[in-house]
Amino acid sequence: MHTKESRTRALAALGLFTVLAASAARAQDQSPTPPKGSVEELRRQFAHELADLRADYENRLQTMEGEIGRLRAERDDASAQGVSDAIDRIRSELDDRVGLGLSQTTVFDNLFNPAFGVVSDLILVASGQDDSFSHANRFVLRSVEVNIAGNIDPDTEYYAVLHADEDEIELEEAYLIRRDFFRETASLKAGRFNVDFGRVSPVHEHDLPFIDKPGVLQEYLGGSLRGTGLEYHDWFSLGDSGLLRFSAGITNSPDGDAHVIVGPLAGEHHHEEEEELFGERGIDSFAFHGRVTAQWDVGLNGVFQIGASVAWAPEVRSHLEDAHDHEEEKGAEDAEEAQSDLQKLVVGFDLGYRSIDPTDASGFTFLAEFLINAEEFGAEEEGKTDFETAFGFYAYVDYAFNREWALGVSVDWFEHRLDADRDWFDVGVFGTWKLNEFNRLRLEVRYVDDGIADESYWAAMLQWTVLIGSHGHGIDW
Amino acid sequence: MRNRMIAPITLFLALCFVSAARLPAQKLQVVTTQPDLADVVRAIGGDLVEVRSLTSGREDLHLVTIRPSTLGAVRKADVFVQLGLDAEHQWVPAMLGAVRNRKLRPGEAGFINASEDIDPIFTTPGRSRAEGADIHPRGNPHWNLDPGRMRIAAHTIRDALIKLRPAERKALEKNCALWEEKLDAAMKRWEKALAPCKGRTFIEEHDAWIYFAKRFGLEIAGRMEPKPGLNPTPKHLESLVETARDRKVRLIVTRPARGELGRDLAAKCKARSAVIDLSSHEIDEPEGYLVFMEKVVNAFATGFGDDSK
Repeated sequence: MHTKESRTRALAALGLFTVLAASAARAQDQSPTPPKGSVEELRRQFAHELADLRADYENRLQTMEGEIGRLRAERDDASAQGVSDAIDRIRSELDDRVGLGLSQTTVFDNLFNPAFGVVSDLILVASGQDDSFSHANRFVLRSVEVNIAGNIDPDTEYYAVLHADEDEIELEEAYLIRRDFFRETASLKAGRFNVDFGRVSPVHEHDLPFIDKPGVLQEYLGGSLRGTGLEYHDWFSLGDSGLLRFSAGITNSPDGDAHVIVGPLAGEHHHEEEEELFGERGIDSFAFHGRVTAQWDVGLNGVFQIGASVAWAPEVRSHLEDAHDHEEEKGAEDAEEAQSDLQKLVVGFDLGYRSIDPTDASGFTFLAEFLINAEEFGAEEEGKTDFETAFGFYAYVDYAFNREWALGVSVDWFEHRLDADRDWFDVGVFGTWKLNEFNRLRLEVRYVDDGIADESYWAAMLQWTVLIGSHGHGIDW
Repeated sequence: MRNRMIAPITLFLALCFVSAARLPAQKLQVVTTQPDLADVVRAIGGDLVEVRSLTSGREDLHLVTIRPSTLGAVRKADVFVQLGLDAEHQWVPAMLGAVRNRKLRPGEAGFINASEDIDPIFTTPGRSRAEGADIHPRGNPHWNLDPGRMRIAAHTIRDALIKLRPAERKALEKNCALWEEKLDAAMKRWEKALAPCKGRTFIEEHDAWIYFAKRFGLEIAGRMEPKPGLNPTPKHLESLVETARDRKVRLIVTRPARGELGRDLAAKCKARSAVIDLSSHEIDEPEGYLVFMEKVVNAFATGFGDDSK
């Protein structure tokens, strides 16, 4: 109790002391008030009014600056929106004009729909062949190819390939591809096209790693196997590093197509004198083909691929019709060569490996393909048909030193399709110099031992291939 | 009997509903055409994305070969991100055409063209092949070497991911902002490191460094390729020696594939040579865009060396 009173007293004393001290300080601070109307008083009033005015204007300035900031932001937003709208409008207009909406496809494809490309393939040939083909020891403009490619709609593409050489102009391919056919990964090809058989057969000559299609493909398929009809494609993944692709097709006029410098079809174009291996098909008699291929990543850069292909023509009729057409002109001998309802089957197995270092594009590609050709031949009308099964293969290795230079070797052996006792062998070395993506030189030297014509010879070829405009091939699978 | 069944069925359905509601949203599977983009998508997408670069960063983007694993990855992807400006013209169209993933079609939300909003620099004035074999009518595609433009691309990627995952807007914006903070800090370092080099001249091997040079105030005095995409010729390289002398070139910059040629030229020009990739690497582990750019800046700063002090 005593303590509480003492504390109250002490607090009261402290409060009194504080009040007195504050009063004293205030009294010290205050200067004496100047008499009313004196200069000092006027000065003081002026200072007050000036301060008020300044505060007022500062307030107004702050308000105005705020307003200006708000208006500026609004203007910027409007401007950005305007610019953005203008860009969208211009893009839209460009899309309409030049097809940019399809985004990039390949070099310049993005600018035009359809896209056009031209490939020219000029070859200087020197050959020691006694019975010279028309291509020997001369310049050969093997092909000028015009490619047309475009989108019809987002799911449908159209392609056409026109081939011209010194003698003729031909529509080689013209087809559409309908994507998302039943399945997203599936597509349907319809029209005239190189059928999906093996790795090298469908490739156009100027895109080969060497100059000519291997002899075995010339002999059994006539080079590229081409047909008019339908082809269905699909694929799916095999785990994370593999895939399986397959195709099946039906055509009514599959035949071989080749523009060959060295090989069993050298100097000839299949439409001219060579018999059409698969012949013209009637509407009730089609030819069928299919392919299954799988590939896997190997290591950092490698890809291993295996595949199997088959082409089957149950009835070959064309030569009967052709022969009858010629019968009146040429006499009975042609009729004896006529063939009807004869079948032909070609089966191929391929094995490939490529490993390309992406830093400098160096690396090698290996490919081997084995083919079996089973063919019925002879004059059926006279009951003289015969059946021959022949075997052949080719293989090549191509080593790229860098983006520009590559060197390769290929070997090719096959039995004659109608007489397996006679065979063909050739081996060649080829060097490629890619001046750039669109300009390529290639030198090839090839030795041929032709047991069918019973001769052997050397041939040297210098090829200059150039490309202008659009040119794309999709994926190598 | 019927009444007895109602309770368990209701409970079962409720559990199913709750379980489904609690299931985490599936991660977006993203594929990018090169590692810089993959790194930026990872930074922005965070846990929402699983990212794979289709190339390792060592490739010339014009010479990419498509492997089976590439096709499989693109097939499964929800999002595809490309540099654009035709950098990937040789393989992307064929790849997308073959894979036929609807989500990745140009124009769809899953197709992100990272260069869509950047301001391209046009280094080949025409559209004719007479200007060079490797020309890009839409603009030079090596914009990834400019961190400033990569920031714009990051915004494009962020906005595209938000469109695909609107519920994750905040997380995506936050991740992007965090990445930008790192970029800002790095930019200060890089600008400081290259400040003494401003106005210095160098020779490039390929038409790739214009964005970087403009960003940091460097000058390109010449190019080893006589025209974009054409191989260096002896005559052209000789002319570069004169250029180097006239314009006081102190650095020759090449990709690894032409490192030796760059060193030879540098010796003739009495300059230094630097071998620099055009993208970060992603071979075993992702190198990361900022780490890569740090190396690039260091290579230039070191390359100019004492002359810049």
